Amino acid sequence: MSAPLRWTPVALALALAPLGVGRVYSAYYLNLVTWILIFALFAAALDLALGYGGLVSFGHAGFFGIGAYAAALALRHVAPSLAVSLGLGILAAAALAALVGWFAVRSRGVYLAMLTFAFAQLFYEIAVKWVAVTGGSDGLPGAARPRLHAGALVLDLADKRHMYWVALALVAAGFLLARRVVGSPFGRALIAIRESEARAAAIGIDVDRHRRLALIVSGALSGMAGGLFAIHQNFVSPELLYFALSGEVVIIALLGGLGTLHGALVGAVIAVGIKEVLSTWTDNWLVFLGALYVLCVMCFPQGLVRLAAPGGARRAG
Amino acid sequence: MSPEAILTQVLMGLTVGVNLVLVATGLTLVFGMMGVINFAHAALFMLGAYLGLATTARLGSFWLGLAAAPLAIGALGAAVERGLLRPLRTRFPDSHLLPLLLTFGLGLFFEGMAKVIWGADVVSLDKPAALAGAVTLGRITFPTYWLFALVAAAALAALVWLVVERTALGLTIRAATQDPTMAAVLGVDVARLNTVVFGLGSALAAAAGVILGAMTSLSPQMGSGVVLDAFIAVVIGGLGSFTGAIVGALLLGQVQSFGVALFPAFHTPLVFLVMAVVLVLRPTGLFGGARRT
Repeated sequence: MSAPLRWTPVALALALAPLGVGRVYSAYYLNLVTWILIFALFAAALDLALGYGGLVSFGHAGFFGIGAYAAALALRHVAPSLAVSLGLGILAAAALAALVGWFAVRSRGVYLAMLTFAFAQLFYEIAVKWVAVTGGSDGLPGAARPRLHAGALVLDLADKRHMYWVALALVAAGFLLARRVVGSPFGRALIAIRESEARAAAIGIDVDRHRRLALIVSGALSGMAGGLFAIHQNFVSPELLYFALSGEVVIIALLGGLGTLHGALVGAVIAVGIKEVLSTWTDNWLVFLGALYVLCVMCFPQGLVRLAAPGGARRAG
Repeated sequence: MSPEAILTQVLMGLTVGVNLVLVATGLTLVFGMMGVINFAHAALFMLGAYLGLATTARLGSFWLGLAAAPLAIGALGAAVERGLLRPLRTRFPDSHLLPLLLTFGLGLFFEGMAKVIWGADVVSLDKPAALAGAVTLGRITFPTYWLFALVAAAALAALVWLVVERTALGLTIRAATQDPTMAAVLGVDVARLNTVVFGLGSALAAAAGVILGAMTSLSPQMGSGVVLDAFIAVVIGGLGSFTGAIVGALLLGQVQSFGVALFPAFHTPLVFLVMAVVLVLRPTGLFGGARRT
């Protein structure tokens, strides 16, 4: 079966999911699917930097969180518009990625991980301390959520089902964009850099410029995921910038398999799903989550997608 | 600021700084030898504090707690290295990310366990009665326990420095940090040394956990702030460098102390600013070589 055909049932099920709310399952499960979609986009964005560009980032929560804060602040202070708030979220995250890239592009491996980590923690601290703007550790409750008018069709984002459709469409667009980037000459050059920097440089690829651009695209998509999350939750808090989230998204990408993009979706289903199930079952979910991470790293370091199709095995991290 | 106030801030910064040295030592040595950023370090620091609390409560002696916690956490650290990290690194010698994720997961696991055993609330570890109150040093008064924390951590750090710089074990550690392959060729059992160093680093973190825990308070997340500072100290000093960790930690102690006094709202960004400036000028830190990335 060709790839588009295999994905058709998944796409169809995702598109029709809101119709079952109240009939087959409660609204909670639709929210869960929305979260999974958003985190899948976030993990795919990380995969672009980490799995394709070989940029070991341990601070992607910074891009996600700043996208979320920018979107929430735009809704409150600028305009109740999806395009404006999401656009500002993407812009803010891309700007941060450009700044981080400017500092970090010469760093490699663990140094890069530490620098990205430090930047994300810096914004976490600012979110906690700058109470007047960010609401401090209490977070920032949202404003009125925007309505979308497309001809006769009106989407009210306060309605979780309408929000879901918007999120689904945007996440799908994000995935398609990421796929286009990976398939483009730029993406091919990025893979060449990951495989051997010296050889890539020798055939005339500007290594630093490609790495910087990869981080900006990855940051922008992470910011979009963060903005969607903020609009969906109608609430942002410093947790969205905390390094635990940076670790979580790496786990999601790793679980699915680095350098695959669609692995991010598989990883998000498992990681977000398990976390939600665990936290409803037991107060001690952190113990199980930690143990699960350790288990994932020790048992499936190549990712679950490649476990199913062992032909495409590539080295991890 | 008056001279007395400046001196007080210097002493407070020094107290924080020498304790950061204890935390940073494990981070930098483990990185230097194994190329691993240990994200479970914060949890080991926290578990040390709680073990100190449990021992103190059970046996009624703070000093026994201060002795028992490093021993137990040192053994735990050695077990983690031998049981999980070594097999993973043998299978994926080139991966930076997998060990980082392993220790990240372990950190969450330990934090969760602490919540299960001791609860999520903030608790306090009582300092010994002999160390209550304040002492007068010339024209300044300083809390007795802070002075103890300064002297005890400094003595421990000096001991570690002697071991690393002046003993045969320290010589093999330094050799393995510079070039693990060459050290192994010359007959150093690098695998065993990794276990020893991981255990030693964990024990030092646990000691700092007890000392600082009694100074402030205990909670399952208590490690993240301190270890973040230690990370920054290590990055400033140069990952893998022991001297760098000491210099970085002492510098950071002063930045923290004066930052809190002079810019109370924005002392944390100040710390990151110092790190960013150092890394832009010297991408591998003050004492880091370009050797390992």
